[in-house]
Amino acid sequence: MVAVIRVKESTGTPAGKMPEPELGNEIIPKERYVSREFMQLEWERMWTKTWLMGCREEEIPDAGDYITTEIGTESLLIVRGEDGVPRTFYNVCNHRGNQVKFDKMGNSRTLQCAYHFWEYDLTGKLVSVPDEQDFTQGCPKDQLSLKPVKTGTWGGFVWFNLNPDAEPLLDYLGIIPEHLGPYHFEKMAMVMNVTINWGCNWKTSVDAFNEVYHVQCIHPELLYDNDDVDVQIDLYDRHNRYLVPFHTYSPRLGEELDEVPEIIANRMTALGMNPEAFRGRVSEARRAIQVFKRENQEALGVDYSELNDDQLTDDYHYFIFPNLTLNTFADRMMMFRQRPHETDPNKMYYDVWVWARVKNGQKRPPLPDHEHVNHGERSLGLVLDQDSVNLPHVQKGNNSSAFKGLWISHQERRIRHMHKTLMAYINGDYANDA
Amino acid sequence: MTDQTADIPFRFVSKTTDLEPGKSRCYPLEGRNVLVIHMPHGGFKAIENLCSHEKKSMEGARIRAGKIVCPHHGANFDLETGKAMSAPAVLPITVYPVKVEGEDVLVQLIEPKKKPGNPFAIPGVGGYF
Ligand code: FES
Ligand code: FES
Ligand SMILES: [Fe+2]
Repeated sequence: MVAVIRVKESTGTPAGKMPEPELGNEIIPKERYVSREFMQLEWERMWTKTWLMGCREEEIPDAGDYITTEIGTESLLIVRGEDGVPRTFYNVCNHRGNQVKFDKMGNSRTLQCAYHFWEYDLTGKLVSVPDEQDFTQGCPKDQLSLKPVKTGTWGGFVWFNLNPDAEPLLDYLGIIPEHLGPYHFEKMAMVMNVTINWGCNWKTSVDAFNEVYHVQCIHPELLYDNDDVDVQIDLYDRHNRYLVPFHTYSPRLGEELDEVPEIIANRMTALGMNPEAFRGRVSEARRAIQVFKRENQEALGVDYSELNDDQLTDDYHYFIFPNLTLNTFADRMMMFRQRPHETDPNKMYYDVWVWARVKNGQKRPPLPDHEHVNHGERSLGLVLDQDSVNLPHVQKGNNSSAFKGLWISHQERRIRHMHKTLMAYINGDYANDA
Repeated sequence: MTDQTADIPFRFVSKTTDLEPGKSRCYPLEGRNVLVIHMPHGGFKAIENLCSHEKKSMEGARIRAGKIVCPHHGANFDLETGKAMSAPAVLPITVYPVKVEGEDVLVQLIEPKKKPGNPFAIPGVGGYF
């Protein structure tokens, strides 16, 4: 069996292996997954201190376009101003506390509360109060304006941070812009937008995508398309990644394949290659696909020049702390945003956003409608259905008095790394960042 | 069942007396492996003998409450619909329509369910993912 060959040089995205940090071997206490006290600590010290992804720039292209998004017990209103700048506000009217907007998205010239018509402009300033003279205590507009939230943009995404003293977004993202900039997410279009209610802690979902240990068990098909063993893991400051070779096969199969597996053949066909004409060994198919894409980038309508050869096939899989999972490919991206439930550590919201690169000369497809469903009501395709099937049972098991915590292997160390960052927030180690 | 399947003839696969209630046996038939199941409380079922998880044989599997329990990693499948009822399986198995005539068990060899050509494809999302 030939081990997977990786690129030696980095073009845009650094491809080199990071030295391994010392993470220890301790059991990860299960309380972090089930306790309401810990959930509250996460809220106070982490969710309200980190940069979170709010929406896509293309969801609010014009002045007055807004979306609402929830994190924990808070609803945020992200709106694009007349000056083209997106701003985030707490979605609450300062009169009697109605939500300023109840819908997912829309457009309005001003932000008018639907109860007594207090009206705020797109910068959040209170501009009109019916019967204003009737407030005998007065209506100081500057004090009663919408409460602003720190907002930033990167990669075609709008981010917010509930900490008014937060460090700038780019400082928080650290290595991410350098690593993922070459994919040009701003040239990708959203093609699916689904939220699913899952019966597990938000970290149970994060963990499910931060290890490939489970591939051999619940994704047996993928052993014929992915090398789940030669996976490079890199742990950075807050964020981490692994690089999973695609369109090859797993050494776990224990033998050399003499026929290109159907999944790889289908991938070749979809690209315009003829799998029948392929004469190499199956382990060379990945390389052949890379070469084909490189040579035919004009016809394929994508400029791959900033990406290395591995990136033309592989999953450069990033975890952006605390809650974003990105399966990044040259022509597509599958992103998961995992959000905690308002009150229950045993529940979460799983947002699935799928993106496709807009090819040269192609028009951007219209935004997909947002779907919000319960687990099991909608298939997400074989692989993601397989990923989700154990999760509610993991959560039940985590609540058992017999279970003490997570017993993590080396190949699962991204989970340990995520907990290291999480605990640094809980312990206040990032408090002086600003 | 669609109209096309109505045209598929029923074929003899086994004798009712071949199997005790609760037992199953695999019969090769026209290039398929048909697992005939004598249900514990009577009646016969037939499935394509391929677990949708790792394509293994389920011959001799436990039958419980209308479900077959794969002996390899424990996936449950509903024997009415073929639906996967538990991890590690997600995809359905193929259930062949069965008829008993006298002592003969007959099956209709409808097209077996296929695994998706692209396991990453998401229903409702166009293009190749
Ligand atoms: S084998 Fe991993 S949770 Fe049981
Ligand atoms: S082969 Fe049947 S459960 Fe794994
Ligand atoms: Fe998975």
